[in-house]
Amino acid sequence: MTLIVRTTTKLVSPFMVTYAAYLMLYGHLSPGGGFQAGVILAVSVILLITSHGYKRVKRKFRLKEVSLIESASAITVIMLAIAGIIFGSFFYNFLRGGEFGSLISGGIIPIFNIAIGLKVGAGFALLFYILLRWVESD
Amino acid sequence: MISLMVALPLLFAFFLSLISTFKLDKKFAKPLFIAGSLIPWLFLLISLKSSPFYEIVGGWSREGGIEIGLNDYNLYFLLAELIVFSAAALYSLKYFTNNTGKVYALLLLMHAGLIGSFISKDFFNYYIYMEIASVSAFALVGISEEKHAKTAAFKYLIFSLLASYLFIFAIGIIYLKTGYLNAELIKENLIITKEIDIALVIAFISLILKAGIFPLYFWLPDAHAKAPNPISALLSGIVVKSPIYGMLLIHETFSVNANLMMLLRIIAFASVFFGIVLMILQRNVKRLLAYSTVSQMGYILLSLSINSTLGVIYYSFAHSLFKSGLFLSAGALIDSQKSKNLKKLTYRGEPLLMVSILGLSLAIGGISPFVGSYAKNIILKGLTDYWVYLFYIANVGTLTSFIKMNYYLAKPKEVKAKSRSLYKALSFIMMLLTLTFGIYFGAEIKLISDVLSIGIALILFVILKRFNVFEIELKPKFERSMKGIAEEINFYAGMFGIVFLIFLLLSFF
Amino acid sequence: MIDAEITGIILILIGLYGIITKSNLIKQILSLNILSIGVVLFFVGTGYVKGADIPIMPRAKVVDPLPATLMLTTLVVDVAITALALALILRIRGEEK
Repeated sequence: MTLIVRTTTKLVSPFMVTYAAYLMLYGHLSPGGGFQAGVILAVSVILLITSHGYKRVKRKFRLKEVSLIESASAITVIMLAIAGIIFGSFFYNFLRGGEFGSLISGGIIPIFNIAIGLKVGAGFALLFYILLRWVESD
Repeated sequence: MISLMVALPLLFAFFLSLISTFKLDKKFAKPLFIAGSLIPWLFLLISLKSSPFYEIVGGWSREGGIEIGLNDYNLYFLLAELIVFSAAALYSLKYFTNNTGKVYALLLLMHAGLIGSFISKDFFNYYIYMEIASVSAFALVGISEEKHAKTAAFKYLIFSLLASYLFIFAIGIIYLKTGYLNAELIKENLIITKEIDIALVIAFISLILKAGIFPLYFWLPDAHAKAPNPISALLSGIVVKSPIYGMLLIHETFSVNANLMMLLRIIAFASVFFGIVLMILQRNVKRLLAYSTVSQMGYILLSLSINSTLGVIYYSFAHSLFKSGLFLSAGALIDSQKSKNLKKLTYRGEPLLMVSILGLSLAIGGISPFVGSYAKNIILKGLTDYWVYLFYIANVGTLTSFIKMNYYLAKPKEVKAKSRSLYKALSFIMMLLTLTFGIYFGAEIKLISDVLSIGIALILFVILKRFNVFEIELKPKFERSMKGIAEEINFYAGMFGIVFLIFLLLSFF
Repeated sequence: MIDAEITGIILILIGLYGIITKSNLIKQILSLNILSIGVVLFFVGTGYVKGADIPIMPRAKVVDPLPATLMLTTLVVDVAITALALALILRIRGEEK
């Protein structure tokens, strides 16, 4: 794509990652949450793929690292759920407390949102990598 | 504690996908896979001590939480799932040779999804786990290396998804009218209105498509025949039983319209006879067993439509055991003799496989004391006047088609290699399980009616052979290019639309 | 104002029409997507209360949050299925050549 498109997407991508991080952390206080943040995180990588080409992006965000983030965050979610058993029942919210409406009042919910956001983002980016392997173009 | 039955296979599935990115497949994949598939047995045995039992995930109250439970409705479904999956898992240890980490991860995801759908008592939770199992099933059908396997996976995908979205639409209408999604709470606050009746008809149609019963069976023969051998056993054995559990849940919570029940009874008998007729005309052994699944699902729907829930539970349990046993035995033969045509396969040199296939064929025909006869007796007690004669004719028909399969398999032909001993041992174990459960449930031995059925079936078989019915060839109706696949989907979706309209009109007049 | 539930049902019927008549595989997947969006719209519309506020405490009259949460899961299933179907179409085309 032309120089203007490439420079603009390079400048806009980090801000999308910041927006995704805001959605992940404030998911229990305002509209947002894990899945939505994950989609935006994935779009920030896919925008770079459509403007710069698949080969160049693959050199920076390697396949193995993306796959590692996906599996590791999925394991974190299930370990968090199983850890709730020690305190009560499966998926119990064991970090209650904190004042109503502040950032820390969610318990395990922000941790869960972060893990889901990373998994969904890595998952969608991985999906695009694999589909693009078949349709190589630049 | 029962929620761990679902969480641990999921955990092992993610560990498997982690090690498959680092290419450590050879060393660690198999132990992790076996651990993930056999751990739920431990939790089942622990939970049985305090059954019946329910648990709300997270410790919330019933209005705000997801309820899961284990009582006498789901126990046999869950037991069948664990037995069939353990057998298929041991079989697939030797069957898959490349990409093993990813295939095992998909199998464990299917396991977690099936267990989750059988223990749920909440409609939306049941839908989600059924979707997890179905998506894994689509991918697993697609990895087979046969010709046109990916076409079969695509057709399965489109139709199964059409049904899922209609099921969610029906649940949406139920939520709109009652305000709850939990089965117990809906039962307490139920007032039947016309919209809930329409929602029940839509839900039944979508579950009939997912279970592969007569007018909506079109995806089943291709998908079950072209999948890899252990996956076929899983699909025909237990993945088609998950919609049956959904129908049971709906039947227990709502009181269904009487017109709809009569319509379901007619469809069930149509499915049984259609399956038998098409089984007689098949030459490919896996397609024959797939049409047999269409036929037997008709028996289960028949049992539901005469309000006999015990019949549904025991017949599903029995059918899972024998269908998966037959697919595993057929897989053992196909693997070593490298052909699927009935005229080229034989079990002459292998006594263990011969006993297993004969035993399983007798079980599926309803001969006592195998477990099939116990289930058929329960259904028979609920039928009245002329339906009983149709039932006897259907039994004789099933026996005839299985006599056909055994006749071709018993002819001596030249054999290049022997089957693997792991496969032979697994199929023999499945046959022993059908015999053991039959005796444990207390099936009565009815020698005279069994001998009479086998006698009439043999006479019918000889008559059909004399008229050369077995030489008729069925031609495929649509061509196999990409445009052909699209036209096939158009035709069958149109048929689905017409059946849908007919159901809606006939249930309400 | 147009009712969300009626729009949902119209979208479902449009999606069904697309699967029955279009003879291109990718158009059939797109029709399935339209069908799923129709179902999501119907379900979200059942929770709407006229003139109410977003469901984060403490507010007096709130929209029902349960359907929106359930539909999130349905959307995830939809995205995964579209990706799987597109991968299968690529493979079918590759085999045909």
